[in-house]
Amino acid sequence: MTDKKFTQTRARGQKPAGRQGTAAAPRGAEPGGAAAPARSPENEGLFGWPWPLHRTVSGLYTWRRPKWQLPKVPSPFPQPPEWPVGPPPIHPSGAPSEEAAELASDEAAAIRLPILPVLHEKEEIRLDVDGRYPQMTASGTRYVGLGGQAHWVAGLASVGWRTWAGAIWYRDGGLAFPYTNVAIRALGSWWGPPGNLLATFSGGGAPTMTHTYTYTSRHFHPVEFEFDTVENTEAVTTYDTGSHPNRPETLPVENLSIEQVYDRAGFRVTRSGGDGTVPLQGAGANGTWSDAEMHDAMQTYWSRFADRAQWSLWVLFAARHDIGTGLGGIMFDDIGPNHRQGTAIFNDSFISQAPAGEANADAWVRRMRFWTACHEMGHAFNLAHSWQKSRGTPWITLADDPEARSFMNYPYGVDGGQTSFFADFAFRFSDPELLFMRHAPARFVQMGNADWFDHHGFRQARVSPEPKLRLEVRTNRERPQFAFLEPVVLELKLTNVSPHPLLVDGNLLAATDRMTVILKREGRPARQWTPYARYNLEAEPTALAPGRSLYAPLRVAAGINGWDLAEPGNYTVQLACHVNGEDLVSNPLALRVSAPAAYEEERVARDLFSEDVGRILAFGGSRFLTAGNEILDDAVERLPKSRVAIHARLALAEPDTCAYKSLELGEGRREMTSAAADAGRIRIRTADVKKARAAMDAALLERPAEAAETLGHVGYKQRVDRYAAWLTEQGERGAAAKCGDLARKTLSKRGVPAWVFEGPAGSEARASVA
Amino acid sequence: MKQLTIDLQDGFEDDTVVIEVDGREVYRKAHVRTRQQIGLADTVVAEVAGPRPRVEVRLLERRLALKLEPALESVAFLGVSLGRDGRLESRESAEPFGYL
Repeated sequence: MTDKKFTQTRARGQKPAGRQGTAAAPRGAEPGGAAAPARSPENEGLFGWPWPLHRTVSGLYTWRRPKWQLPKVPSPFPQPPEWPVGPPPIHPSGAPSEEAAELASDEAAAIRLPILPVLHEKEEIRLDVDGRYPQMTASGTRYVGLGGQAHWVAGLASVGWRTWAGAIWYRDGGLAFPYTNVAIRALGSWWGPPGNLLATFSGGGAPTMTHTYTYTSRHFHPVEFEFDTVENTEAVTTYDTGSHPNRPETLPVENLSIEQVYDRAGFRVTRSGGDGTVPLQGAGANGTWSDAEMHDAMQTYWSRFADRAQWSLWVLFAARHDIGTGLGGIMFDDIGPNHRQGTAIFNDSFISQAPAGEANADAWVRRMRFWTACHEMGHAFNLAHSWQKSRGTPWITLADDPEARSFMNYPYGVDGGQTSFFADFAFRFSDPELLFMRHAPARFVQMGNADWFDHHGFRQARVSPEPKLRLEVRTNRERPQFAFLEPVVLELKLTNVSPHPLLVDGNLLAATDRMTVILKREGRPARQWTPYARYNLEAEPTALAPGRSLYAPLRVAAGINGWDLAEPGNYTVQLACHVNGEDLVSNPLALRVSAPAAYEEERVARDLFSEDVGRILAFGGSRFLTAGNEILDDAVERLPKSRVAIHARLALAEPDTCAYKSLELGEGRREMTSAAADAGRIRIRTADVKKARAAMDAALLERPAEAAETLGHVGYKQRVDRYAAWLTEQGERGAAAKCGDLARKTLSKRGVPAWVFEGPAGSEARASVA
Repeated sequence: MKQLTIDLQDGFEDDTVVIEVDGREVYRKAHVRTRQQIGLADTVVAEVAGPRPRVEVRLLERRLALKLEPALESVAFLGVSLGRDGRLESRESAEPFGYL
């Protein structure tokens, strides 16, 4: 039976015209082992049954704008209502209900404006709600023109028969994609071939968008493998799961292949047909393989080798690495421009040494070799070890899982060792790993694309499908572009998006130890920003009414890891924190740091990006880091009109605003003793009011709009309030009032609402209307 | 003389590492970095005389130090990692560690 509107292109059970069978039997199949079964993935349904018994709807769906169709904009006329949450009426034929047809017709109702140029537009949705290891997730990518792209990920819950809905918790890409929610209905009958999808995107202040997506594949991505074997070495690419008695009772007994492992992870696996033998002489005189030798072999013997990203992976079965028997396998390809294209398994290592007393040594060894192959290949998909998820360059707040029963965990690393591991191992990847492999932006997963260990963890945040709070990171400027040398200050905004008042910690956004901030320069690994200091602030319960927000500046220019936003280029900043029992993940903010505009900037840059200067700017000034102060003085002198001079003047002025006490001790290294015994003394340096005022006026008042933009609105208001209070203490009430007036006018012109200026001088803007 | 193998495992990121055994420096290297795909940065094999050598591992830039006295009759392999909490931690084994 077919849908009225969405006609199937072929009769039930018929192979798609023009398609060839894929996955030819490998030439290098091990002796006595089963060759990889020839399959036509497109007609294989659940449990391997062919259509018409295909029951799952998960897979890849595609929408394309017809080539010469103009982009549409939503109609200003009343639209059909969105479908209600609940079982939709089902036509006996399985055709979409009148309701669905009506909803789909909003495309026709839309006005088509002659927006030029006409752009190629395509969208994909990966629906993951049934089949093997469903993640209750949908992800999608929107392609516009030659390079515009937006990727989104949403958690889904069933809201009706073959209908799911959820919040979009992740967005990536330069193309705008404002939607915050998606609702998806699978069309077609439950017992026939997969029908199409109806997806409606809403929220984010944008008009609702509905598209109909055509079923494309039950897999989420393609991937191709090539298995090469060093002469006199065996390749283990299959394993009889019933051959060793230590296994879960529920584990199906089958001759499991590597291809099946990755097929179940959601990939349409094919073989290159180029499997072959690699001569041992490639390992050099010592007969063991170095990383460089494996790289050379990959370039020579891999039939698909290319200096580009591709869904293709080379696997070498060899005897031993230079490191010795302690290395059982490695994803060696972590150099050069295209990582993660090659892996190797070493049979003559500890993976082939069954434990003493093992009664089924042969099965144990074969299982370990098979497991190692799947493990190393998992690294090529940019998966890290289970206990490393929080290390290196996590994209989102992560949790290590050292007890995971996954291909990516060491069997001997769990409690109870490998016996305990395999007793509970289902020959699969963990749910977070599957979520990453299936739904992360393709470039994070695809071989040869994002660098190794970049975005590997992707997500283990427990993001609620109905979040009560929204976390945003933004800049207070028209375009998120920073001048060279300009310390990057961003603004954080936490909004109550629920219909009820919420009690939150008013100091939350200032407590940087409770958030994970990730900075990533385009083409480089992401890094976690670590501030110079963490503040243990007393919680300040604050009632946040619906629609109201908290704000705070975030100074991410420098930290313990150095200056991660110093070099010219494109960056992405994203952060996450845990609030009121749920993980909040901000939008990814794309920003740009400009190239130097003058020679003087390059000259200042040689010294500016030091730890001392970073600390001085982070802490708002220092009397003691004299070398750093000299560098900031130099920056002000050489570049008086620059943005960095504003920050430098404020940092240099702050210590002059008040008396400083310092403990001065003798020079040289002495054994610990009392300050008195060391002729130590307390020296009081008085405030230099005139100098401080000159610097503060220059920084905050001479070019106030520029100061507000570079310090951020909240940061600028904080500084001005503090300065005004200081002027009042010095008896300069008139100057303090002028200072406040100027700041008010400056921020008003920049769209900051009037209520921000209510309250005593020196108070911070906290709650606001979103 | 016995041998003690010390593996620098997870968490090293461009660190300068110094290892002393019984007061004798056996290892000093800058830019030590963990290869994440195998969880190993470097390996040191030290000759030790007594049954309980005094081992000290220091990370200079981070100003971290770890002191251990493994019992050689049962420990021949020492794994040192920098934990997520910023502290050095160790594992002891009679058998070599395996890396994948």
